[in-house]
Amino acid sequence: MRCPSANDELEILLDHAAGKLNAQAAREFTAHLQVCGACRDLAAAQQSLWKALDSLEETPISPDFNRRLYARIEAEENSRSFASRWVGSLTARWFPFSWRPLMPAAAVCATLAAALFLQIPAPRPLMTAEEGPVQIQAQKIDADQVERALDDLDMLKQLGTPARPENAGSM
Amino acid sequence: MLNDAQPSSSDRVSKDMEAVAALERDAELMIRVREGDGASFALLLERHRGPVHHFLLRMVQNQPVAEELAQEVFLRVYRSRGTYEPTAKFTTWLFRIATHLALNWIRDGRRERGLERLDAVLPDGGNRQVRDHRPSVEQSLVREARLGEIRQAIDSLPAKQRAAVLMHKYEEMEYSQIAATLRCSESAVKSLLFRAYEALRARLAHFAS
Repeated sequence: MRCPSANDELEILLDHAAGKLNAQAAREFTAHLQVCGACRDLAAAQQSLWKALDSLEETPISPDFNRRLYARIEAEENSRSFASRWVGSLTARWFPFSWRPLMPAAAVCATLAAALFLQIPAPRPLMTAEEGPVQIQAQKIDADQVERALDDLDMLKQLGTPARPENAGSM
Repeated sequence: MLNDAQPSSSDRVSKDMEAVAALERDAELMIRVREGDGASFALLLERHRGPVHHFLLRMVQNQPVAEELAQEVFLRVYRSRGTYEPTAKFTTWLFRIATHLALNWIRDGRRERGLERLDAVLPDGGNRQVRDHRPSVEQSLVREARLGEIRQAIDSLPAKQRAAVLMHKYEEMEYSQIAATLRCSESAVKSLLFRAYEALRARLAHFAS
């Protein structure tokens, strides 16, 4: 076999230390180790490391690990169901009946609203070029008339006489 | 001395068959969990909580954090039960979650906080027990110092090398499964392992003598 350390094929070295070599590969590698000092040293170092790693004992898991895990699961399940119940209660308050039958009606209303919106005429400009001065003057005259009418009404009130709308424009 | 005792081929075949059967059982159990069977989840938990916890403990070197992360692993398994598909081995998926959580924790630099002291009180109210196989106090101290060196050597590895070594050594995963867990190629896994073991051999060379 090719020398693993010379050819950087260290997988067989790892497998040997881990006891994963099949019978034939193990025989070939063992035979190679008899003649290759570099691989022999490397294999010995790897096996020593393997034994050291084997000796590493770890703290066992806490006895209440499962209980705490199930408590977290239950808490999550409860908060999820609480959230869905909360949303449900809100929708029930504002929509005490099922909203599903309303969908067709809502669609019809939306269609009508769109149709009405499209039929509203464009707002007429306040004045056109031809109407402008005349319109303004007409408005001005009307305002003066109204003002005079209001003054007449005040005066008549002070005199205690009921106001007659037809007399407002004569003064 | 070199240990030439490799398992016989029949031993390896029966071991492989047992491993395959275990994997199939895991997938079957998880499918039952998907269908709402809580007892199957409990079985999976009992089977895998130890290895997951030990893996995380060796990754983060902090007992309370390791337990917290282990809980998070199984919580995520439970949350994902509805969409589980046995496209990969269950243990691959499980250790992928565990590795992801551990790497995140290490990256976030929380390892500086809260290194557990030997006299710290465990969550169950007990004290950390230091197992003592030797009759004398001196030998016990030497053993604990040695174990501390091993832990430090593992801890000194870059996070991905550490994860690869732990999965290869303690979970006895094949290169292909480690690659699937770490989402990299097999050649990348071998490269990680070769460098990691080389670093460990150098750091713990005095153990051989």
